[in-house]
Amino acid sequence: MNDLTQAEFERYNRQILFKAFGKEGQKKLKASHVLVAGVGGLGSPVAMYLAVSGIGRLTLVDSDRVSLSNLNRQLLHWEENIGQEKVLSAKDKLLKMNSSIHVRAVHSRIASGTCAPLLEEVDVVVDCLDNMPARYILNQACVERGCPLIHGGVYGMMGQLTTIIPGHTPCLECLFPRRPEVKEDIPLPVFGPTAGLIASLQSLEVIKLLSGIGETLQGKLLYINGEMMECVTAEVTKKGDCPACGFLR
Amino acid sequence: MEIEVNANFKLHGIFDPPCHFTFPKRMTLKELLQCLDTRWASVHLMNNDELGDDVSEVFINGKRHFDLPGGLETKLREQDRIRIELYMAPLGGG
Repeated sequence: MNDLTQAEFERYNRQILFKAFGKEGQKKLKASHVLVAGVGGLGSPVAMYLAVSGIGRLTLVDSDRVSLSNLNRQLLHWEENIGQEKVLSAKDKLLKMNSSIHVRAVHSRIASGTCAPLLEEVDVVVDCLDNMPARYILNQACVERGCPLIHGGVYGMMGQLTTIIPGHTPCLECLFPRRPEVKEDIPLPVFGPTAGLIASLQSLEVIKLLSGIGETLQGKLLYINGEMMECVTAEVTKKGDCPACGFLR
Repeated sequence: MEIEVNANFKLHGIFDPPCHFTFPKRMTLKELLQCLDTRWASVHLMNNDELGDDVSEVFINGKRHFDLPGGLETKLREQDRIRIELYMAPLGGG
């Protein structure tokens, strides 16, 4: 595993000081490749935190272009970026934050035919998508490749997240077997701080998973209602006949 | 009537399915769900007059409630067996 340079040691000093993480944890992050699916409300802060924490390689996937209605929450996109591909807008900012990492921008939809190749050599996938059909496709690809998936979702002031380890934990389709009606053209309400909160926790899950420290949300769904300031952790179970991950049993 | 509530999640100290109840009182399906809704915090069986987001299926004597002419207003009888399946609703935004 690549050793840290003096500059890296200094840059990441505040997290290296955390004993359970230390220099070895930082080296693990440097050697890791994380795919961020969606660089909107969730994906912007996720990519920012992963970039500044020293993840060696980031792949960003999104098919959208920046629009004015994105700017209440999508921190990587600014007024000057309206009309630009989100992945390029994001890559530009991330490399300004941390020029020592590698960022790959993929302007593409998450679709059945295109998803699997994106996961090659990826250690963790972060689900920052904005619709359930694409999430199910991403989940299926992660299950088939055995790739950990950190799921996050928001609606208004509510948010949820879980860590999926294929074969060991329930997958997304075990958790949400009822496929909601496809209403892609109807925008969902989202407050920026809600997305930021869930995204921060998703980033923390990635860092813990890659460095092997702490307890992650495996087999648990954390649900936060920001409107009522309630927080619930539910234990979740695999679905025996799950069409996505049932074959792993 | 006999009631079974099942789910793919549990909340420590709050909700640990499968849960079984016996209700002696006659009521409508809506009244039963409203009654159960107040039993567990964070488990949503009813949302005003409609099924709550967490309810996947309701069966009365093996028949889905959607297939019953009375729907939520179906009058339940003492000998009825009701099974309620819950799944948490996803939050789709990002």
